[in-house]
Amino acid sequence: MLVRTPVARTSAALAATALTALLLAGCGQDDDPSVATPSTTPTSAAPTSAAATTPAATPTGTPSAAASTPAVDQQITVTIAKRRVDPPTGRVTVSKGELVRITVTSDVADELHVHGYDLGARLPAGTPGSVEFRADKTGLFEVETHDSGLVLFQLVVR
Amino acid sequence: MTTAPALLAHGVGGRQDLPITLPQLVVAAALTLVVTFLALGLLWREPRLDRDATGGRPVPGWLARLVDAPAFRWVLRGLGLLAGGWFCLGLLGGPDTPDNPTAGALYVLLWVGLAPLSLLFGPVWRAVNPLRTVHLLAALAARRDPNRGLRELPDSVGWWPAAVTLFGFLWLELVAPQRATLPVITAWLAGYATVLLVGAVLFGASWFDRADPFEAYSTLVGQLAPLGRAADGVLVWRNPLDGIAGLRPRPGLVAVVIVLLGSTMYDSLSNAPGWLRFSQENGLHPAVTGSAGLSLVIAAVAVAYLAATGAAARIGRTGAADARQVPGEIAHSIVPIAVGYVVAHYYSLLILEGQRTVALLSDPLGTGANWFGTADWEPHTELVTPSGVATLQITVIILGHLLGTLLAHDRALYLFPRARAVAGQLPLLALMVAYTVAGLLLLYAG
Repeated sequence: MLVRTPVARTSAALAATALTALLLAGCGQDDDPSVATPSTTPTSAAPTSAAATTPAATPTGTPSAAASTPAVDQQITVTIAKRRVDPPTGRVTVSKGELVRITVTSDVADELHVHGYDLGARLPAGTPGSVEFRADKTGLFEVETHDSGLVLFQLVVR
Repeated sequence: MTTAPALLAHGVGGRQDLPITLPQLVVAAALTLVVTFLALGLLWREPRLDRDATGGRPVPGWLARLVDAPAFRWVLRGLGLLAGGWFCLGLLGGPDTPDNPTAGALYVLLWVGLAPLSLLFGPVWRAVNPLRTVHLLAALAARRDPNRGLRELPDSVGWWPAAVTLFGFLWLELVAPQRATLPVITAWLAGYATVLLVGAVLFGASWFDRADPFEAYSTLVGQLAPLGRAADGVLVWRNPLDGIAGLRPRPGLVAVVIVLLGSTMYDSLSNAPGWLRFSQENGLHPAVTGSAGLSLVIAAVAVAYLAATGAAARIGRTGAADARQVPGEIAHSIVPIAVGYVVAHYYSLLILEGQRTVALLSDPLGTGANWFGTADWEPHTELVTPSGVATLQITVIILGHLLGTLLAHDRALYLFPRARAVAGQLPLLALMVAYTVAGLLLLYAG
């Protein structure tokens, strides 16, 4: 009964359709899709933004949630070079309800994804991409890149 | 990992539980020690549990007749076949997207859901296992006795096949790359069905008892159910502690129990930032690191277990023949600990992803259908609050540990001469405390 293999469904067209659908739906399977509020619009940062020219705010230790731009409560900046995550993978704790911006610069083209909140941003090689959202769900959420499959940090919302 | 399935690379569920805090950890550890001490020395001085499963209060006649009625059995088998068929609809015909219910049905509804069902009703998967039914129907069609295979399997095989298949499933759940995608799930299930069905033809239907990971899991957990069978087959209400004490040693039992406990610990470990860093920076494929990690954690749990039970046998001065029995005699005490971890790890996943999966099951083919009327369900999240989940996790882990200690204590009183019993169980107590501290620390870290 369970031994039949499925017919191949790997045609390019289907894959492309699925990819588009998944970019909207996001990585993995979210547990509460209803919570995505209008304030959680992912934005692909313009290469000329302030965050673009600033590399990692904290060169050592776990990624820090430093309040920088007045517009957001927590600004988290990560760079990836040769599959090395800087600052190294750790936990970032924010309070529920805070406005969070995650800015990531990767040396190869990639896709950023925030689990659970199901937000994504395109990461062209060498150009920062960011997502901005209100942390309105508590829990532990992995923030990762898709193509390279790296966990950048775990966002802890308490 | 460049096409669509890469987006499903991990298991199910986007949100994970918050790690417990340091004060919660300290309170839990202190409570563990106090409760263990009281349970051990003061309250329980004679072996009391029903090791031979002779006791229990027979259930009312109508209930026993219903449960044992062939018609009821066939209804259960039919339901199992229907559910299996529905599952295959999404598996074989549905699109490979996060809105396909297959991964949720396998990892959440079946694997996680089996624990509470078995805790309530006993070894339920045996009664509904669709592969068992397929084999039974084929045997009936061929006019053969389903219980007789082409050859006999020696008793020394015991539960070893189940230990292997259980490891295989846990590897799929915790390590396999792209484990929430249809090709990976299909490949695993194809292998699983082949092993089970070919084995059943070779060795008869008892192969399912020995080799089906879901039956083994359900049978282990089901020993803790308030409903059970006495040694003579009578359906009885019984103290769950008597039920689990009636889990008799058999070859492979220790392996099954250790694989189960070790995998829950690896599940915690793999979520700790330190492990994530190590896994990403060592240059090996994540599946290689994951496989090694899972194997090593299970091996560590096994070494601790064998060392502690070996020391207990030496100090308790059992004879050489008896000493070999000690690991198997104590194995039942690990089951509540493993169940505690399973509940702690998967409670919120079952509540949240379980609801989502039921909603998705209305539309297994991804055609926008709403066959069960559940497609528009919005998951209720009230049952999952951060403090509630943390409290529940700590409670069930402590409770599992407490029951494990009681069971080991009771069995030590039975196994060891009275004068030696207290000293003999010190290694077992140390083992239980070590498992609990390790588990809590991993929950703190992960």
